[in-house]
Amino acid sequence: METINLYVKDYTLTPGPRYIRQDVFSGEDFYIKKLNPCFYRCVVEDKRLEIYLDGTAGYPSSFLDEAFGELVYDFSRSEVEKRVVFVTQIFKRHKDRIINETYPQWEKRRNDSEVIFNTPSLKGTRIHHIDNNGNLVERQI
Amino acid sequence: MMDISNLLALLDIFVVIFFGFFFTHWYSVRDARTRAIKDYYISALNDIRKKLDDFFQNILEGKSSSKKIAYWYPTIQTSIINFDNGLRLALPIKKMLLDEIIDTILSDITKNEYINENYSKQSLTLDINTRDFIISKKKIIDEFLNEYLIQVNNISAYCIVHTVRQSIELDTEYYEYVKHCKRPRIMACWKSFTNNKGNIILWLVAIGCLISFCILFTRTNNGSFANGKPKVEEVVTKSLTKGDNIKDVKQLIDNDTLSNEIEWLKPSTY
Repeated sequence: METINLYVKDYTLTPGPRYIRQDVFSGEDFYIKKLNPCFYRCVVEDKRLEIYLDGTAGYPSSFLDEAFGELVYDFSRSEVEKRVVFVTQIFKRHKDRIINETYPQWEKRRNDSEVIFNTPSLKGTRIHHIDNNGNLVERQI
Repeated sequence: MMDISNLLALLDIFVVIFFGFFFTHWYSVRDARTRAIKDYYISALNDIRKKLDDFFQNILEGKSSSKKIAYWYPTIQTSIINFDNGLRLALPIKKMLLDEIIDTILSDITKNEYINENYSKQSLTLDINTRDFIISKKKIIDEFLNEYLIQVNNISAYCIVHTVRQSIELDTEYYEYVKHCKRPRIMACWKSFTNNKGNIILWLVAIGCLISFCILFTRTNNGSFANGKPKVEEVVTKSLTKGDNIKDVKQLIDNDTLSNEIEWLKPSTY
C-alpha cells in the first residue's frame, strides 16, 4: 500500500489546545485543515497515512485527543487503525495513548451517535466522514 | 582410615574458611560497589525531584502558563528515560518507569479543561479546583519518588550470575567494536574468568571438599549412617551374598534375634 506523509511540524512547531476558540494551532484546527483532507485522500486512493509527530516542541494531550479522536469519530476506528501509522522517536507514549485511549473512547462516542462539540465559528464547515452505512460522504459541522 | 569425627572436623574447617571469606570479602566488595552506584542514582533522582518541584511550584504560584506546561517535559524527558534505563541496568528495580508516571501525570494536566481554556494567557492563575487538581497530581509524583528512593536505597544488587553475564555482554561489545577482535565473546569470557578467578577457585574448592567428604564418608562407613550397625536390608543383602539360605535369613528376622546376630555381620568381620 502506498503512503501519504503528514508532518505535524509542517503545520506548527508549537501544537496548541483542544479547540480553535482557545488558541491558535489547536487540535480541532489541525484536524479540519490537515488531518481530515489527508485521510479522506487516503481512503479514496486506498493509501496509508504516515503521521510524523517529531519535530515539535511537545504536545498537549488535548491537541492529540481532539485531532485523532475526531478522525475516529468521522471515519471509524477500524478504518483509522488500518490506514494510520505513527512515526516517532520522541513521543512514543503519546502514540500509545492515542491508540489505547483515544481510539476506543471516540469509537464509543461514534457508536453511541454522541453529538460532539465544535467551535461555533466553524458552523457550516464541510468535512468528510464515513456514515453508518459505510459510505464516504461530506457532513457539515 | 579416617573416622567420622575427623571428617566432620575437616569439613568444619573448610566451611569456616569458605563462609569467612564469603562474608568478609565477597559481600563487602559487592556492597561497596552497589553503594557507589546507589549514591549516584539517588543524587540524580534528587535532581529530578528538584526540577519537578520547581515545575509544580511555578504552576501553583501562577508563574507558569499552559504553553510552558505543555512544552516543559520534552526538554527533560530524554535525561529521565536515560536515568531509568541506567538505573535498571545497574539494579533490579521493580517499579513503574519514572518517565511513564511523569508523562501520565502531565497528560492529565494538559487535558485539564481550565488549562486549555486559558491556553493563550501568558501567565496562568489557577482557580481553586484546578489548584486542588494540580496539588493532587504533585502528591502522586511525590509519593512515587519517595517509594522509588527507598527502593533504590534498599535494593540488593543483581545476583552474581546476572552480574557476570552482564559484564560478559558489555565486554563482548568492547572487544567487538573497540578492539575489533575476531572472537569477542571468547575474549570477554576469558576476561571475566581472570577477573573472578578467586571466586571461581573458592567455589571449586568448596564443591571439591563436599564431593571428597561424600566419597570418604561412603567408603569409611560402607554407605551406612548407623555407626557400624547395618540396616535390615543390608543384613539380608549381605547374608544372601555370603550364600546363606533364604530360610535362615527369614528366621533370623522372625526370631527377633537380628540385633544380637547382627554383630557377626559388621563390616569389620568380613
